[in-house]
Amino acid sequence: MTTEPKIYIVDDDATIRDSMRALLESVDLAVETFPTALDFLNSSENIKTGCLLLDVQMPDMNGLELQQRLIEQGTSLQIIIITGHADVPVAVKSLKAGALDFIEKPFKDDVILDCIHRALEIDEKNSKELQSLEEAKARVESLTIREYQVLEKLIQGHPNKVVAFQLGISIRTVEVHRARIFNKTGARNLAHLVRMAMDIGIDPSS
Amino acid sequence: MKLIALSATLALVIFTFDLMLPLGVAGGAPYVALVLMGVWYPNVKHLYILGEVATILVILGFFLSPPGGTLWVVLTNRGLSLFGIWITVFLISSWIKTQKELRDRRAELRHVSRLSDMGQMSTSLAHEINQPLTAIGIYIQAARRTLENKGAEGHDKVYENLEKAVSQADRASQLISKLRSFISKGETEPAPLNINTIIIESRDLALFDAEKRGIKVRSKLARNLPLVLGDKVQIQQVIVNLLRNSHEALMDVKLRELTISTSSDGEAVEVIVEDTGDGISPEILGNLFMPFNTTKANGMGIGLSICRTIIEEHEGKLWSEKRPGGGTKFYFTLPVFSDTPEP
Repeated sequence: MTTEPKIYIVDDDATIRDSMRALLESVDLAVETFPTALDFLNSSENIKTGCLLLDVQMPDMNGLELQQRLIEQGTSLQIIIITGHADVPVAVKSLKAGALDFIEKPFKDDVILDCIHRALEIDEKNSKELQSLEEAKARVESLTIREYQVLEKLIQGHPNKVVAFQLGISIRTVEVHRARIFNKTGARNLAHLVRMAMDIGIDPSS
Repeated sequence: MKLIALSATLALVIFTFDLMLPLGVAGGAPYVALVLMGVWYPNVKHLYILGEVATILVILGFFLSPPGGTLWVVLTNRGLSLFGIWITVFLISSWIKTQKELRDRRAELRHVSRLSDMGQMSTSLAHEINQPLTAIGIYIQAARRTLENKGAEGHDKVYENLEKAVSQADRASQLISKLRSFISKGETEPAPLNINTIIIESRDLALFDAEKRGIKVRSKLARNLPLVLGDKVQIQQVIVNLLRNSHEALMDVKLRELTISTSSDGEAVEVIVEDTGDGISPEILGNLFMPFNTTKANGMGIGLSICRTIIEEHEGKLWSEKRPGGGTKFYFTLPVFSDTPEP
């Protein structure tokens, strides 16, 4: 899961793509370039993490439209918008939509590299969270049906006695299940278990 | 040379004629015809030389012609001849001056129109020049970073990046030099031109942003196209203007195709610029080539009228037709100057 973070560049100008690749590779970043927004969309299903440098002015689909589409797809990519000439409404629009930053061409390498590093930091944090979430999910999924039922009751705040009564099993059995649940999920205490369950989308109130 | 020989012959004929007649006859009057030839000379200086030659001949005639008539009649005759000669010199010199002014004004107007064409393209042009400048900056910064991080090991990479920066600098300066020669004031002398070459240069200037705008440009340039005689800057102006009009016509439509083609029937070279735009609305069509008739927000409406004047001054024709299937076709023709195409 933890592959090297990549920088994706979408720009219709071949020389900008090529020069950006040269710049980013000079500081040992992995780069992938796309000449159009559609090319990026076609491969964006496999792209979950990293940083996207997006040119605003492009034929067919412009940068802002691509940003919109990616957001609709629930992307977790960090997006940096790049433009040929400062256009305040476009800048505001892209930042409001969640772009990390807005950079005007021609730019200094410090500016863009700082911005990219910032994006990668956020991206790393996000992907760590994503990773622990997926691990939690996998652990919960390893529970047996009976264990899962006990888990649901526990996070609703019922004591063992009530759980045993509601499920029609003995208190002793509930205790065994409970120990197994803590063991399998790695939860330190009940509060931790509740939070984990809520993170992966189990609603205690239902 | 032919013109000088003709003038000299005429002067000789009039002089002989004057010598054969008695002094009392106003034999100097026909010299006006000699002075009138000044219209054909390229410089107003020649006109004055003709006037001076005529004056000398009139005075020589006074001494050499056979006697006849009283002295005062003879003197009045000679005086009136000189008067007629110099009045003609004056009239023709002011006519030449007016013609020159008119030519200058037209050249200025053409210049203003070229500036206006480029003015309308300025936003895209700025972008087009900014692009290589940005790339140059990035390549050089990449080279610097590579040096910092990899030292001698990164030599090849640094070299490659610098090479690329140089080629981008060329890209920018080529565009600027094309732009400069297009908007320069100077017009050239008429010379044999290959229309295809001018089209390629004009296309680079007028349609540099076509790809970005999703316009498909097709060039169907005839091989072995005969040369035409013309002013290069002016012909380029016509082509840039037509290409730019088509380019703009394509901005609001889905199907964006622009075709420029050349052909020749041996008598004339024909250029066609066609687009798949919405066509020209009927209310404008009638006044299409009239000045100050524009649909563009920032245009002056002099482009097409100037184009037509330029082509007509080159003894050609410029007209437009509806393109079958939607859009507009602009045609212009120029007479063939020489059948031998450039190698």
